[in-house]
Amino acid sequence: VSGHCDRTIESVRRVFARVCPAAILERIVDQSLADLVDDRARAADVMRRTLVTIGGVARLCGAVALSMVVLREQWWSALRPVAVDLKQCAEWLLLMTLVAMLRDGFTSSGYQKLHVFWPSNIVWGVEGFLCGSACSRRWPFRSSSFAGRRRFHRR
Amino acid sequence: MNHRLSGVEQLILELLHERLELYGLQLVDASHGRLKRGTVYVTLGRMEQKGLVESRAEPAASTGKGPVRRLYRPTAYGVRVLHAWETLSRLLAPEAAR
Repeated sequence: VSGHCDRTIESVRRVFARVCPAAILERIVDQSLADLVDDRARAADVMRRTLVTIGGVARLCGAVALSMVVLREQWWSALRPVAVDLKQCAEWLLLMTLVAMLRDGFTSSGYQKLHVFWPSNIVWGVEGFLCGSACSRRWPFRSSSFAGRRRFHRR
Repeated sequence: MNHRLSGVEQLILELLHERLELYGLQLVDASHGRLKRGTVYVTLGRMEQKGLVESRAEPAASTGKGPVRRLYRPTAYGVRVLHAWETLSRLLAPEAAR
């Protein structure tokens, strides 16, 4: 049974608590640290205790790395919404870059002389519509994941 | 649900079935070197996901101020899988080994 928890153990736990999901913290980190507390309590002198601590932390790092692969469902569920948002940001960035490139092309003097209707006005209109949609969180092309999340938020 | 059982999972289930409730370090000690301290908790986590074992936090009074240990025990499904696996291994063993 784990004994007294000293400041070294608390510091190590605090570091892992910042990077690990709760499930891995509870099931892997805390259990390994409880073993380390016992090992440190059994160590005869300071030198041996330091070596035990280094070995225990190294073993804990290995276990956390392994658990990130084996128990990936535990942390992927927390990261999935962030990944969806990042994907949407990338889509918007790509779209706005394309629109900006088109506008620069249409507003060049040579192109404007050739056309009666100024296409730059049309592109500006499209751009304004897209920006308005983005501000009101109404994605005009209705990607399935976004529509699902909107339905979820309405509940 | 994945019904396959690795060698380490079978060993853990056997030890838990014999002794009812153990924590990770006790499992390592009871296995006489066959389980490693670096991987036992990851294996237990995976077995818990598969529904083979269940865990509970050790009561606070016995842990002092240290991190809370988790005690593991086999589920009814885990015991069934263990028995089925042992039967299957016995049936599929070569004649000389029986």
